[in-house]
Amino acid sequence: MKFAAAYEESRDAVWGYLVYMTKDTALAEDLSQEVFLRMFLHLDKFREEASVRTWALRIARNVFLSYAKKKRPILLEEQEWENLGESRSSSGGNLPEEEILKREQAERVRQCLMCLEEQERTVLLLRDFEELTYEEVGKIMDLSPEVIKSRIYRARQKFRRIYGQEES
Amino acid sequence: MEQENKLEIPSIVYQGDDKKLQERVRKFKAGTFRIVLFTIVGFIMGHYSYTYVGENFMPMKAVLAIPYKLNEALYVSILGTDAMVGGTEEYCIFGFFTEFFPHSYLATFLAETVSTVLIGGAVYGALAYFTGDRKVFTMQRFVKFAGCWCIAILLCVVMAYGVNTKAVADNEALKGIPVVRLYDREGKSDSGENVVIESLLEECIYGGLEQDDLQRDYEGEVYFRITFSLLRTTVCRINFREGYLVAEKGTTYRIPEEYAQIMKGYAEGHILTDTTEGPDALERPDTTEEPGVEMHEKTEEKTRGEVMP
Repeated sequence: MKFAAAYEESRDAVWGYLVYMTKDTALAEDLSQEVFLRMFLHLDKFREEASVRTWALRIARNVFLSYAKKKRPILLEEQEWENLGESRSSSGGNLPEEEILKREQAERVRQCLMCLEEQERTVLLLRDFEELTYEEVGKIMDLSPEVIKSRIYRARQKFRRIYGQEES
Repeated sequence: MEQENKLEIPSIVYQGDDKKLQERVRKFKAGTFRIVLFTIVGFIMGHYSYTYVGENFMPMKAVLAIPYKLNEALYVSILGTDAMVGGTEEYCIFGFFTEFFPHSYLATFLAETVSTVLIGGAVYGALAYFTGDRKVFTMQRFVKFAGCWCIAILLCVVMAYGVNTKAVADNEALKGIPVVRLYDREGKSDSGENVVIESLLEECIYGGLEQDDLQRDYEGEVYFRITFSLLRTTVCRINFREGYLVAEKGTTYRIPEEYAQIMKGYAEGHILTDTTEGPDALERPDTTEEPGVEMHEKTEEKTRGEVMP
C-alpha cells in the first residue's frame, strides 16, 4: 500500500481523534504529523489484517499517550468543567448561524469529553465518533470486545450525566 | 439497543493544508537523502583517510585523519596492541609493514580499509543526522541509527580479529600452499642459490613437516618469510646446519634429512656466513658493510656456471 493512499484514508480519523483528545488544534496538528511520519516509516510492516484507519488510530493513540505521559499528564485525567478554558480552534468569523451552532456543540462535546478519563474518552471516540466495531476498538486498546462493551456503556452514562448537568 | 444509545459526536474534518500534516514525512525524506549523501562522502573520506600522513595543509590533515585515528583507537582499545603488531622489528626488517594484523592480508584489509570506511560513514552520517529537524530526527531515533553503525563496525572488528587469529594458528601449523621468500635486511628476495633453497623449502613445507620439540641453536638461525596462498604471511627462522625450522610463535619442525642435506650444501657456501646472526644481530648498530648486500653479491658469483638440482 502506498503512503498517499493510507494518508487519504486515515487523515480525518486521526485528526478528529487527536482534536477531541487534546482539545487543542495546534497540538493535534503536531501529533498528527508524528502519526503520519510513523505510518510512513512502518508502512512495510502493515499487513492489512486490520483496516488502515484502525492501524492509524492505534498509532495515533500511542503517539497521544506517549506525548501526554511525558509532557502533559493532565490530558490523561478527567478534568473539572470549571477548569476547562476556551478551545484554541478558530472562531466562527462570518459563518452562518447553523455552522456556528454546530461548532458550539462540538466545543461543548469536546469539553464534556475532557471531563472523562483518557480510556473513557478513547472508547467513546473510537466507537461513536470513528464508528469502529468492538473488535477494532479492542485491537486499538488491547482489550477484549466484552470489556470494550462494558466500558463504552459506563463511559456513555458518565458523558450524558456531565452533558446533562452542563445543559441544565 | 446499542445503536440507540450512541452519542452524537460532531464530525471534524481537517480543513488545513495537507502539506502541513505531511510536513514531517517530507522533512524525513529530505533528511534521509542528506544522511545518505553524507554517508557516501564519509565512506570516501574514510577510504582516503590514510593519506592524512602526506597532507601538509593542517585543517585538511585533521579532517582526513579523523576516521583513521578513530579506527586505531578502536582497535587498540578493544584488542590492545595485538591488533597492531605490524610495527615490530621482525616485520620491519623484511620491508613489510602493515599497521594492523600483518599475518593476514584479509584481516589487514578488514581492519585498515573496511573499518575505516565504516567509521567515516558513521561519523559523516551522524553529522548529517544532527543537522536535520529535531522533531523528525529525534535522539531516540539517533540512538537506533548509532546502534546500527556500532554493530556494523564491531562486527568488522570481530571478523578481522577472527580471521587474524585463524591465520596466526594456520601460520604456526604451516598450513596452506607456501611461497617462500628468503629476505636480506633490505627486504629483497635474492635469486640464485636462494631460489633453490626457497623452492626446496616450499616443497618440504607443502609436503608437511614433522613437529619436533628439539634443542634450538639460535646462532645458526636465518630469517625468512612465507606467504601462504597470497592471503597470509609469516616470518620464520631456519637453521640449515641443524635442519630445523621455527615458526613465528616458536613451534619447531624437523626438516627431512634429504632436503636438509641439499639446503645445507647450498646454504653453507652462500648464506650462513651472512645471515646466521639470529635475533640479537638486529640490535647491532649499522656497520660499513651491509650483510645483506654482501650476501647478494656472493650469491651472484656462486651461481655462475652452477647447475641446479
